[in-house]
Amino acid sequence: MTIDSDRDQPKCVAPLPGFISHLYLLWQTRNQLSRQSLGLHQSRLQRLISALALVPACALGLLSYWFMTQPSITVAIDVSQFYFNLLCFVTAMQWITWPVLSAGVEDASESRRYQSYPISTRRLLVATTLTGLLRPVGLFMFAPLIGAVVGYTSSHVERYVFMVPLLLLAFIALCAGWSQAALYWVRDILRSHRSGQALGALLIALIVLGMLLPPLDISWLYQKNETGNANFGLDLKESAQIAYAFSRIPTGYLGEALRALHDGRPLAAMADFLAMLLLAALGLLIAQIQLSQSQHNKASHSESNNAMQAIFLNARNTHAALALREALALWRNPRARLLLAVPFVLMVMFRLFSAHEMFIFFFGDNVDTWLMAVLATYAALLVTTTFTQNMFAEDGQGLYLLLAAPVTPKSILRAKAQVHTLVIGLAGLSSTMFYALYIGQVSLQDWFLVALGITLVIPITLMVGLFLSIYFPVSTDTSLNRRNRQSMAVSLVGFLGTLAGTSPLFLLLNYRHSEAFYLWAYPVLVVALGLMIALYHYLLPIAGQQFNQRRERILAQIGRF
Amino acid sequence: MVTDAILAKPHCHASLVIEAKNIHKAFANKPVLKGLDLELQPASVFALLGPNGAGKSTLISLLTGVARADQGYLRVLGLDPAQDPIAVKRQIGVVPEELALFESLTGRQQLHFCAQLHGLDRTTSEQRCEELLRLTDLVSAGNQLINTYSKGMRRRLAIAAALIHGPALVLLDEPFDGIDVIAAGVIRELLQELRRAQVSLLLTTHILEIADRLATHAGFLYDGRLLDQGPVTTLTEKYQQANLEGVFEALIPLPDSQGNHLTFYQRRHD
Repeated sequence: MTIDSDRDQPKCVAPLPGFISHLYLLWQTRNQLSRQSLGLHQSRLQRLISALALVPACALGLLSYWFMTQPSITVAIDVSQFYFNLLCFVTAMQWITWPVLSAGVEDASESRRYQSYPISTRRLLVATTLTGLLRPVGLFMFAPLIGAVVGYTSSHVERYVFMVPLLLLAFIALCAGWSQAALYWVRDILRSHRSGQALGALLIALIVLGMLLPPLDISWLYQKNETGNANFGLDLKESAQIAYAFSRIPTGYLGEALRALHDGRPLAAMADFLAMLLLAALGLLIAQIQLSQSQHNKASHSESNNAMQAIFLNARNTHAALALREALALWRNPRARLLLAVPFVLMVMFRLFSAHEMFIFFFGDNVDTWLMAVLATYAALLVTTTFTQNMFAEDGQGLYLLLAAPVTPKSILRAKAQVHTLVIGLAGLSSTMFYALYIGQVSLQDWFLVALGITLVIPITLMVGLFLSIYFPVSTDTSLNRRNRQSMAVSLVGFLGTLAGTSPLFLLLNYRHSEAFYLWAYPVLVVALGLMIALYHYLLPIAGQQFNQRRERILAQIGRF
Repeated sequence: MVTDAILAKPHCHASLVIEAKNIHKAFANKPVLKGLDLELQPASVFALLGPNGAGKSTLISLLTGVARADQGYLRVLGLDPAQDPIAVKRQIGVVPEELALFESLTGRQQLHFCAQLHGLDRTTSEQRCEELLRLTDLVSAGNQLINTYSKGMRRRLAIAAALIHGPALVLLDEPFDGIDVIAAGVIRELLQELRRAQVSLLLTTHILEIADRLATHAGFLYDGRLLDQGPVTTLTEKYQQANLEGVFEALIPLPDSQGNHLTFYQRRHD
């Protein structure tokens, strides 16, 4: 046996990229994918919108800095400590539950994408977590923290300031690590073939719990004290006690560490720093275990219900079959189930934390109608921005079947639009009913007003959704194995469409105390609804034509063509 | 066995099932078909052969009316798919390479749904669905969601879905792609059955042995043009080859990569 020596032979295996290189590669790939999802190069407009997305985050950062440097807050370290710990608690809870509230479970697929490459699962998780921090959502989470830390430090920390950035980074790592654990937990639930039952049981348990448990008394947060000053009802002793209680749980470790620096105890701060890092590692370890286990679990599901098997046989005609299929696809979509449950979970939390009473304190007794309208709009928004503005995405290659079938593109669109009407309506109206029964005291005429106003959202979001679906389709995956998203510009247009749809209702609510309000408010909403429906019927054939013309591009975007 | 009840006769009496002349099609200004001519006789099995990227799948999309030709004359069962797409779609069945199935349906639901799209009544739909499930060996998996199916099961189901309305012409894009021997056997038997029932078939495949066994006619597509077409026996005689594989090698140029070697592996000589 001889070796051909006239070629350059590799002497050894090429060295693998280091952690920084992996981080850079992931970050670059994430950016490229978000650009390619629309087949567009990053335009100035997109850059501008991306930059604008940072504005709310920066504003929140500045606001929390301003708050933490107010004389009424800096008056005593215990008061500062109390509000700082409270902010850390709220931020951490929001950060960790974000995968659930946003149904952003497709983020988890990013790790699967790279698992066949020579990179360890641990490094992959750490790298995706770190690159995820640079997303606008990530910035939104830790910008208020930065503001609060800077505010607190400028007021109370004089020595060992160099340790503050390290402590902040450790806290961010803690939140990001547990957010990853929550992400994979939600994903596992959604991918299990009993996800519907699991989510339903959780929701019912939460609702019952919310009814049985006495709401938390948070009146001390906003009630004025005897002197009428803005110490929000707490005396110094109470502030100190609550701040101490907060510092006993992991979300309070940052506050405790900063307090230790203030007291001149750097070793205690270092201990908190290490504890936060250890907890962050624990969160990532749990995420890693979940990720490894999910590789071996493949959901399998048999439909044993004979009536469901014959569901299409009972369809009256082709149009009914198209609509039934669309409805069945949404019914079996785990993300749709989660999103429909989110407003109800929020309302249970609303009740448990006595948020309703707080809003009444700040805005008066008539706030219920507003709150109900806002929550119902939020429920509708969740559905429209996830599904209605990307209608073909869930079809995948099935869209080819529809286009090759003897049905017109318009009838495909019409069936989709009808099902989405039903789902948006169901999300919005069930939220208003739940609010009226479970939380607030809403009169029947107010409920009808809000219900009518929310109905107004449907035609406009459908119109916006149809055209966005036709012009900016992006593939998604019901098994949550792939991750593609519409660009921020497209999401913003969908969001604005929903806001435009609700604007008549919110404008009218401003005049709720005017004379004979309901006599003219109902007709105004009915006329607006009629106009919207007429506009929708005018635009539907145009959307059908556009769909027909762009069908090859749509197929290429959402599947393989 | 596929019953006569499933397989309908063509609704028109065109002398050619497919007639394509000078067809041009480009995607994003990149030409894929460059003046393609093709004829498919009634009750024939036409194997469309060619390397990847030759334009086979694009041609199938044009025939089904999913895509539209930029230029040229195209008739399917005597009808223009661009002008009268619904009438064409009623008479053809298609199995694209990337299988067009809805993951959130069960196999049985998929077949019922396809039957509804073609306007079949309840009894016919039910009867044909069960018959096709038996024929494709999917009876026990019929109530499972498609997202739990293997590749072979998906392909068999896609073929069943394409047949449920008894089309006069069936277009199959790579029906043997990525499936095991058992699934391939089931599909081969099904296609033989269709051939015996005088259904016109157009199939693309990389497996030339299968084309040899099934096809009555063949065409060789390369770089957007049909280099030659005709009855299999005529082609083998013309190019003095024993089978379609020989004709393929005689007609299709070797890729540029032929003759190149890997330089970063050690080459061993025994």
